[in-house]
Amino acid sequence: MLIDYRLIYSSLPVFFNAFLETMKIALVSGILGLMIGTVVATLCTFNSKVLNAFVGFYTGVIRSTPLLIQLYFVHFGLPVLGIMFTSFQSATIAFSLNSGAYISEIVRGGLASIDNGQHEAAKALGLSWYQRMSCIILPQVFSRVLPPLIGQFSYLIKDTSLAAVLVIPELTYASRRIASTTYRPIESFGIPMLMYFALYFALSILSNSIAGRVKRRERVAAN
Amino acid sequence: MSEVVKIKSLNKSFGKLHVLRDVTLDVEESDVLVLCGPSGAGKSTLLRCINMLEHYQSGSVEVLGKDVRSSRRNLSFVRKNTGMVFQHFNLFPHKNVVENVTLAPIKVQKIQKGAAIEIAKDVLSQVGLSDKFNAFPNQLSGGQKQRVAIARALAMNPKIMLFDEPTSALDPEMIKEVLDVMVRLAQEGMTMIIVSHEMGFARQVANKVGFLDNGKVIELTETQEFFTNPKSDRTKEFLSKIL
Repeated sequence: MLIDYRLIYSSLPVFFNAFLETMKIALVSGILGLMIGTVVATLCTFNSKVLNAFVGFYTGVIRSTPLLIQLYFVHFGLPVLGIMFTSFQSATIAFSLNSGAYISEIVRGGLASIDNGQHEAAKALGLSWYQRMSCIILPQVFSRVLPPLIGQFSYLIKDTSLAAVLVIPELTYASRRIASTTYRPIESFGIPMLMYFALYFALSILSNSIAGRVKRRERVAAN
Repeated sequence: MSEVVKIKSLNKSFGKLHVLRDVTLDVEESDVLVLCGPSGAGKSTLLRCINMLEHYQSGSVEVLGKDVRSSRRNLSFVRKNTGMVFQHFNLFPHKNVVENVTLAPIKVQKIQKGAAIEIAKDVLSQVGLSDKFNAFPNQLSGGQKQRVAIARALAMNPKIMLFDEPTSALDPEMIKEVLDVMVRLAQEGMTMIIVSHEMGFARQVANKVGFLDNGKVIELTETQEFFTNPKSDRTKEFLSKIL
């Protein structure tokens, strides 16, 4: 038989735990990455030379080096300097710094696309910088950059497979172990593929529902 | 009569371009001042210096007795007490009409949401848009958008209203509905500073008219005087072209 269903059945618990681990890494890194990206992008709006140089350095380093090297650097390089992390911590730090750099570029583009009149109207009403950003500017930015943002998160989900090199029992690591003990590559790698797809699918449903909510609100108002 | 806006020898440049040259100007309570002049004269910039949407190089701007530039606190006081209406409305597109109007009362004046909604009902009925409570800005016509923008400014209960070419982006048919609202505000005694090319409106509503050219206030007089007996040749030339 091409597919051994008993093997699938017996390995499901392992895969399911690995799936949860992958989801955990992606979720934590995604949220941290979004926060880092948003903060870094707003730093750029101050037009300070020092801040811009810092941001340029950060995004430059992240974008010009492979994620795997960044992961190795955090996990094996930083301990030499006396900074130790568990495998899970190293993975989420590397992944959130990495996606944060790309997200900051996306958010920066979104910020630049907001008409200056929005800033001015909010200022003229007496709103503070923080109120302007949180109530007026960023909500508009996020609804504009939702598609590229979702794209970035889909990369992040797949990139979490690199955590396998730190022996974190996530999907890729689990599939390699099961493949090497059972010699059944179709099942061993097919199941995680489906599970990665399921994560992506959940993400796209989430993004559609966010986009749909805004539209629905406006339609309700029109009637 | 007390002065609510005092501008003293104000200078402002964008790089090498000197847009305001030693502008001195006072506005008294319940004044309706229309600023006119050719484009590039510095009218909008002057207006925007009053609530510090533009920074200036020298001189002083005092609003309701507070120097706008002296402290963050004064600036925030001035912005809370001056409403501004823009040429391109600048409504918040992700918020509906009532959210646009109640945002500043809730966030800046810390008024309870229920009370803010009552304020919104009141100001929206003043501009004749009680039926657009839940509409979004993209569902409104230009004239309606501008009236919501006026309501949004009024919701803060300002002492002074600043209008930056409020009808320049509107279809001719919609200009009247916005001007009508402004006429009513003027009749109620609101202090208003208006940058506008609507000379008919200026003649009807303003008690003072200022003419700016090349960054200078060329003429600033009573409305009647301005239209019937302008002093400077430049003003005469301008009036002859537009009237």
